[in-house]
Amino acid sequence: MKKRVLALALVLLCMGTMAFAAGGAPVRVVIIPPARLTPGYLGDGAGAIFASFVYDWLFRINGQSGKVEPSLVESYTVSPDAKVWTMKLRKGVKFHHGTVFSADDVVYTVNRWLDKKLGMVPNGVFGTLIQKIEKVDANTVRFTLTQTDVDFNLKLLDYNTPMLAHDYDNDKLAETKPSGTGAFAVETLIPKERVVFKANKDYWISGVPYVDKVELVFIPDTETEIKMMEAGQADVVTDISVDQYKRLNANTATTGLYIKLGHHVPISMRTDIPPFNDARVRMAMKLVVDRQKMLDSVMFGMGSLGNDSPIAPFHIFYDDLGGVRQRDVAKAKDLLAQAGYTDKNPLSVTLYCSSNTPPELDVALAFQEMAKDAGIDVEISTSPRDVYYAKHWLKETLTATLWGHREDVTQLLRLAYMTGGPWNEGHYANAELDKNILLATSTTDTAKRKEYFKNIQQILADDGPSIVAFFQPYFGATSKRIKDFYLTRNWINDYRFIKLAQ
Amino acid sequence: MVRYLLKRLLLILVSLFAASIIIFLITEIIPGDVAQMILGQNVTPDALAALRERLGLMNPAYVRYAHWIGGVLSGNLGDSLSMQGVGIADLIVRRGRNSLFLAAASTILLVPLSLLMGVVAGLKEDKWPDSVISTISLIAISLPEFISATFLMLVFSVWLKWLPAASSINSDVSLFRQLTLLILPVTTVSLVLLGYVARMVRASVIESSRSNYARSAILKGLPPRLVNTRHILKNALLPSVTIIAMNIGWLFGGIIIVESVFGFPGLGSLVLFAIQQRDVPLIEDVVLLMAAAYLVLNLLADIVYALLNPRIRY
Repeated sequence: MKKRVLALALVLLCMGTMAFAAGGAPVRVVIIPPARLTPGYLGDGAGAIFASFVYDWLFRINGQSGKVEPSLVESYTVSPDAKVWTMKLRKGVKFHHGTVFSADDVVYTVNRWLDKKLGMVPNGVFGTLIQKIEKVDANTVRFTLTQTDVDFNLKLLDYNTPMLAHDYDNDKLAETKPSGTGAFAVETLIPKERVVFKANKDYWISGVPYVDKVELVFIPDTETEIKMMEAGQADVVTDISVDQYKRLNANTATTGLYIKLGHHVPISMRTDIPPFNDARVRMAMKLVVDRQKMLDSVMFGMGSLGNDSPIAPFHIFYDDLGGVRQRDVAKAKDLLAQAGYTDKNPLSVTLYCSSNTPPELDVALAFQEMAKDAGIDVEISTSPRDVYYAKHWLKETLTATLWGHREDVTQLLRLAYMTGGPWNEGHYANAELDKNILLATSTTDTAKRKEYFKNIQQILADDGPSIVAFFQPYFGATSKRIKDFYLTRNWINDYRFIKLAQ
Repeated sequence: MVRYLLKRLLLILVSLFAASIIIFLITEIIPGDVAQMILGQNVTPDALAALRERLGLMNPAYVRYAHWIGGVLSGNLGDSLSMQGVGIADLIVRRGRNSLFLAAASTILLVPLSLLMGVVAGLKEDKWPDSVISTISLIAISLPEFISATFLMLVFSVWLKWLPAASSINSDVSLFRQLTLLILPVTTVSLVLLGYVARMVRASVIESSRSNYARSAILKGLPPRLVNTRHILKNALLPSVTIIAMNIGWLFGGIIIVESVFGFPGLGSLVLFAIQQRDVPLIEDVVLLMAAAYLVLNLLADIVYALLNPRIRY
């Protein structure tokens, strides 16, 4: 008798848990717990994903086409010197708490970025770039910049820059009861556990969103997220590794997704001190790399090949310069010999990277193997990420560091390759490059920009401080019942058009 | 007894005060601060200074300590530093309730089972029941939690699809549903403790059965059943009270790995998050609560000990 009761209880238990897998259950998205939910202080991809439900941006990447489109902006004009940007705002957009979106909200939000006392992340980029933001009329705003910037709208794609309501206490409520103009409004929010979203019936694209409810569940361990997908207990997972993507793509219950992205791990050489102040030695280092083989071994062949510049093949101003550099060990040895490194006196260097920022170590190990063939002796030194950034990054002669994708690649060029740039890993200084970078940011003529970008890529490939062997994609997966979910390059994934397959 | 209790309670307060100083000093030593964590790599010195000022990180150490202790004593824990507008008290109550639930469920499962296993193994020393139980306990002890957790998840969630892989889902639903969420994490932590407690009990049962009082009980002709219950077990089970109490303390706040793997919203993963984000007030409050839990459990264990053992009187 007791056994029977026990068996019955177990059966009931299982039925109870299986019930939620049936149709009609809300779409369940799993991500790691975001550090914070307040726009301006978001610190990770998970925070960006949360924001992409609740908020909207002035511009947005359309997930389906991959193109940058005006979103809360309806149309815009740029002055000939690209210093004054006038934007007409979309009408009839409402915040979740009822306020109608207007120029006041844009002025309020932008002034928050500019307010030094708030210490927000966007202040780093906009603090010196935006001179002022003005309300022209209820639905028009004007940005005046301190310098020419033809890619200003791309900078507004940062996940930390969605529009907030000027009459809402965002500092107090953004972590618990946020209000935005996004396609989904928060119904319940339990910090660090889960969020239930309901469809925003007033969303400015009529009929969107198509699903009534989405549940965002925070799971600290990505491996558990993958198991939930395999068990049919979650519908969408993003920001997973290439092997997790392969697993879910092979599973009959889930579909793997990926998009090309500009994440890359440059192996950077200090150009101001020996041995890499000699351009021949830098070229030898570039020549030992078999780019395709490295992509195959580190990323299972998924991604795009790099040509020693941070500009990825899918970028509009990419120039292949007649094909990526091929491996040539003999030539590398020859160059090394010219620089005074022979078998008796081999080039011996230490490559620094972080132990817990994949795929830094994988890239370092692959490079170490390949360099051996040219007689280059590479020793690898790893440390945890925080120690690596504090002690080794920007200081050591040779480093391998993961760089995130940036939609506005000129920003990255200014930071990392221009003379005196704050994150110039190679301490690289090249007047010709600086000139071309400045011209590329200040010209509106597309044909001319293409020319400048070609020069930039040529200089970096032939003389530059970094080896960029490949670019990583961005991976995710959905359950089979999900349709029309799109990953985007800036983590503001497009959950707006999700439909449930019948 | 009353005097003893008062003395112990006073001692708990003194210990908590000492703990608070140690906790505070440790949070002072952790490199980096919450402002750095918020601003990440993109930091400018100006922004960092502004945010530090705003979050009150620039005050001298004694002011921050006094502020913290004042808050604890007045029952106003304030807001989390890394999440604006999120009350620490709310977080702790919610997470603490979950942790308590998990600790209670594990204890209910664990205590009778591990005592039974330990006693049987001890009384049947070196016979087959002992071999079977000892083998099982040793395997359970030597399996790290993340391995057994992954294995259980693979079998019961991915293959059989009976149980949810993550325990954070729908924590606001009925008790029945909550119990199904608890099955995997409770089984995982119980596996670790089961073997451990059973081994301890077995050892003390064997020790008691070799004691002089056990021998004289046998020699005076008492039937073996009475020797076992009256003499051996009564003495052998006493030490397990303390062991179990300490382990409840561990279940309450120390199972960080299990909580992370199952996404269980307990105190362990809360403190892990707080440390990662350098959310100092949150670290301080949670760790102080854990220290208090250990102290109280220890006191309870001592009281139970005294009640069970007539030789101990306060």
